[in-house]
Amino acid sequence: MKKILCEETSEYLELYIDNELSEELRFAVEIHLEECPVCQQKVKMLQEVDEFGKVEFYSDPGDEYWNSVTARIMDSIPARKVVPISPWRTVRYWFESPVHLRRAAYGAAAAVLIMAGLQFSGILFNENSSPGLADNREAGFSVESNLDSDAGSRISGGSLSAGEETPKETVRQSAVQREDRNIKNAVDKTVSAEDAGEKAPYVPKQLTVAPKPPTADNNPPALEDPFKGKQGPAENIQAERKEEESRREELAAAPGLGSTPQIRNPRIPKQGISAFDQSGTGMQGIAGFQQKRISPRNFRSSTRLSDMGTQQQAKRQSIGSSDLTDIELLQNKIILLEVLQTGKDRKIRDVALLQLDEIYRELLSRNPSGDSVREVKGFYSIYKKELIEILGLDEYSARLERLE
Amino acid sequence: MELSPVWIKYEIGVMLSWVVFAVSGVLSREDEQELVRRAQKGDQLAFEKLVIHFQKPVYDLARRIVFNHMDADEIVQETFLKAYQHLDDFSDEYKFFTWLYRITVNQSFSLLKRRNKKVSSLDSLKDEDGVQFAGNADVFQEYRNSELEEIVSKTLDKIRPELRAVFTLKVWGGLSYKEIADTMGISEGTVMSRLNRVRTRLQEVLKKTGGYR
Repeated sequence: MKKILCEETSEYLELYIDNELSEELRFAVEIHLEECPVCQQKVKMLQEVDEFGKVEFYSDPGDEYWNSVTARIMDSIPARKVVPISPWRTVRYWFESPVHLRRAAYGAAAAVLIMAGLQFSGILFNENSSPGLADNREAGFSVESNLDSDAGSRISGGSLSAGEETPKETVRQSAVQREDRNIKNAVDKTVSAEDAGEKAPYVPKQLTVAPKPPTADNNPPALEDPFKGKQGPAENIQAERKEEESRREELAAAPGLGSTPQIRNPRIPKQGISAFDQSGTGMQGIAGFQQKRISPRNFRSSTRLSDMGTQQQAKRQSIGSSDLTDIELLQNKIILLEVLQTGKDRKIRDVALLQLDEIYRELLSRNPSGDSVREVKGFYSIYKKELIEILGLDEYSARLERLE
Repeated sequence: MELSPVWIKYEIGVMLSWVVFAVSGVLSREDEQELVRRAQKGDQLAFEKLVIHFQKPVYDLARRIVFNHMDADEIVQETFLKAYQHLDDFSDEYKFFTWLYRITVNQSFSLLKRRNKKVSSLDSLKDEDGVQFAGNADVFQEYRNSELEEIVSKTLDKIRPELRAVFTLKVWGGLSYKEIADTMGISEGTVMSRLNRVRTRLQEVLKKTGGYR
């Protein structure tokens, strides 16, 4: 691990308090400062000197003075050019003179335009639009779809999660009504693929809603006894039947096929999610996040997480995705901290730390002065040290860059 | 008609943030450039807005270099007059305030030179100052301020105005090294070394005097 020494740090201290260091160096200086009282003292001295430079040794002369200054300056300057005064220009001046008024007018105009745009595109007030999209947003999950395009997946997620058997033609109509080119293209692609005789991936693999109870005309064909017409010794058939039944039970018990909500995280490769999801640990975030370096086999070690009772909570994604709310991020943070405190596996801890960092960054970018950020900063300062010890400063910063 | 409350809330939130952004009082870089462009074309109203927006920072900077209200007042006038005369020389590659601060710093230096002294003498300061601000007439505050100014100016008097200006731009103005370099017409390395010199010197002085409080 790259550590900077005291002599080296003291060169950086001024740049450090002036905020002119690169992130990596700043980080290194902070780490050093935490354990070096001599450098801490130097920083304190520098800050004291700066405080001296900031001393307010005079009062503000007051509005009256400022008005008089403006008037004197404007009186003293010669006219550069004669500006023709037309009625239109007068009106414009009236609007322009207080900057706020002008901005308010622009803001209002923009708001009206946005409303009009929404009305036109039918997103807000379209009677035909499926409620699925909004409901999914609320529930915080989306359906893993076979359509590659994002718009396409939104469609199948939206319509099918509502439990309807939506014909493709209806979807196409609604897409046309929305005049949403992306969506329309995606649907067209699906339909044309089917027309061409290919097996188009229309129905998503995993539904968010439990399947309908079987009715008289809605019996799944799979329920038919496959051994009905089979010939052979009765014992053999019975053994085969038992085997088949147990296989079915296994399938039914597998997670991810029932009502398990899918994690909404655009950064995780789909393969990563589904591969890991079958292990049933619920920590898909970690799995997907480190898919390149850590194989699913390694991640079986994280099944311990489910023993800690965090499986339910961990269903919400643990990556600091920008899709999540502050509260969700903080919940994820708590889970990750649990992982750090109890998990023995180095790789898991390693990844959890990186994810903490991502949550930290996400929260910081949202609200640079909020309470949650202060809290995050607290645990961050404890664990970033550990992270650097695990990874080394160089690798840590390289991975941070990769993250971005 | 189905309106999802979540969706509506989301849309209203986006709109509100837009409007709040639109009416916030901060003069953005674009607004600033637009005002300068219009002032360059002879629009006096635009220039007036620039004056209103920048007169206080210009005054503060001058005041912290010359330590004297009357001189600072004079520098503000001269700075804006000069800025108006040379508006055509301003190019968009710099920020307007760095250009304006540069004029302010130069005006301050030339005023100090003109008077053939580094800072105004404390006697003249007492005569000229004080009663000027009858508006916020807190006598004790004024007295404390004049005492403070005395200490600060006495301390900073031991430092050359060029170094003092760099230090002030950094500590009071919060400018980056690049912005200070643009303002002073020096390299970033020089900014760094000047700051180092000022801070070392001030540390020595403060150690001797036991601080300013």
